[in-house]
Amino acid sequence: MQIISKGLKFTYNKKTEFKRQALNGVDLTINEGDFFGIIGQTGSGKSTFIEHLNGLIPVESGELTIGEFDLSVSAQKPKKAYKERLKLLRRKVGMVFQYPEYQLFAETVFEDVAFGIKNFFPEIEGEQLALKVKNALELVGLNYYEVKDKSPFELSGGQKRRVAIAGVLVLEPEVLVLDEPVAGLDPVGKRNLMELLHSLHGTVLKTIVIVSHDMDEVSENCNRVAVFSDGVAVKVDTIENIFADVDFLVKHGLELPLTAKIKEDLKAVGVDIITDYKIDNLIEKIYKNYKG
Amino acid sequence: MEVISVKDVTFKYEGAELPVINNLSLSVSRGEYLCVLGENGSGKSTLARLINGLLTPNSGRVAVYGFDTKDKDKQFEVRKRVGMVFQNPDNQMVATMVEDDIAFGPENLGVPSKEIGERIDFALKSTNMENFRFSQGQKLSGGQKQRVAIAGVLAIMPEVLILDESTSMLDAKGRKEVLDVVKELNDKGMTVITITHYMDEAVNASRVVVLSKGEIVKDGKPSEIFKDSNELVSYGLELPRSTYIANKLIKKGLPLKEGILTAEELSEELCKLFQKG
Repeated sequence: MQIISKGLKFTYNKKTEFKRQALNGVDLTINEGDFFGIIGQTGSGKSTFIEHLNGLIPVESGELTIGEFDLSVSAQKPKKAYKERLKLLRRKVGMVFQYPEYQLFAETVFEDVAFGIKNFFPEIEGEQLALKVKNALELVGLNYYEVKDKSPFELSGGQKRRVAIAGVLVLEPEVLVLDEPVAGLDPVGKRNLMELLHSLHGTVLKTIVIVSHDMDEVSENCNRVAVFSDGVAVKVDTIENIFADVDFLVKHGLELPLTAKIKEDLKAVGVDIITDYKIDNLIEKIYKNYKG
Repeated sequence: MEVISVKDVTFKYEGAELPVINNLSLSVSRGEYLCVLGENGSGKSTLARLINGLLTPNSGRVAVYGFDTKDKDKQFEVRKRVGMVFQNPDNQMVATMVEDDIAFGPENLGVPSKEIGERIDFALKSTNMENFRFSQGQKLSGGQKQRVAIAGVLAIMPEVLILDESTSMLDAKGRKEVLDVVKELNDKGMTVITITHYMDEAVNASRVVVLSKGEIVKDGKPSEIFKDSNELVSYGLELPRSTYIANKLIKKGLPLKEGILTAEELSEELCKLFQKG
């Protein structure tokens, strides 16, 4: 499913004195198969944009299509049909919010993961339900028999987050959208979770979209990136092109990933290293350059 | 001067099998910039809550400026000296408007209203939130809310500032702004205790303590802490990225100096190396 946004606009509290234009005409395309990164300063519209991707925020102005789903204003009527399509869309586009573990609520891990299924497919129950929950928990690297009867609150931070992700994966989405997926995890937990996402990407998930403020994380994991600034996607490009344009990033209040910083500093002393900004590849390139 | 004394402290949450803090002792001196590292569940946040008296030990003693946190009569003395900013900004908003939210702390302490105004100015300025003084807190983004939370604590003018992963939701620029503020406050004498998962934040501290299973397993300067990567990984941590790159290159035979912690040091070393060659 390709995601195409054209001129997408959104204003919070439109009719009040607190109104704030969060999106100001977003043009961008996310291709099927992308591990897509959305970056930008706090308040640049990143979260507001992704909340459009499963219809959580209805399109107010502009066009938005997710595969065959048209979410644009013109397609929101008749209301009943639109709601039916939204329901289908929400299965296809899974959404994991910031600190999703704060949204765990059920008494057991099983109940938490099963919640989505019960909501969307009340007819699925018993063994069939258990099988789906088991699959989802195994996808996120948790042992079904060990965790299913536990309270989510007994688990570690990293495990809780995995349970929250399993609760989305259980609906077998094609696209997974995650807002700051590794925030608050310890370094090893971060690495493990990103590895998990990569293992899901291209197998059970076609497309992954992450919102992140960690440039190192984005340069390490994504293939394409959109830079948001004041509610607009000011640049949509490959990792290589995004991080090669230092002035542009600085202008939009973003830092360089460490790999880009080092590449720039070396360039200043006449050493030009061609890199994709992945840390291990940079090490290799520096080594070769030194040797050769 | 010792401002915080944690002595042989054990703490167990009700109903839990094992203690989260296990016979732990720690002394923090005035003006220190202490960074507490440790994997999720190692007891970092519990330790912070023990220090500001939100939790009290099952055994052992925690004292803040000499006041025992178990002494109910002295709770006020403890709380006004230790300001704490938490992880989740959504749980810290008490008022609808940013200005009122920041005023809440000093109002409770009975600060005269003129001074409250000055403190709000200072707190907003320090956190770069001047433009949001009259905004509705709920409408702010996660990062902005967190800056309001920090401002709210700054308005209490505490002696010790504890940041419990308070920068984890900020973008790089916002993080830097907050860390600069914290650094500035520390330079002016405020004792800072920061709990973080960002190894590059630990690099800026004067002292790093690593927790594992409720015990202190390492205590020293950042350069000492980040020497042994295998040991760190066993505690759920890792090297700062610059140290990781430097170590790998050294292993491959590049003559870089030992103990590189920051991007600047790494860059400088690499540039020197290539200019020579």
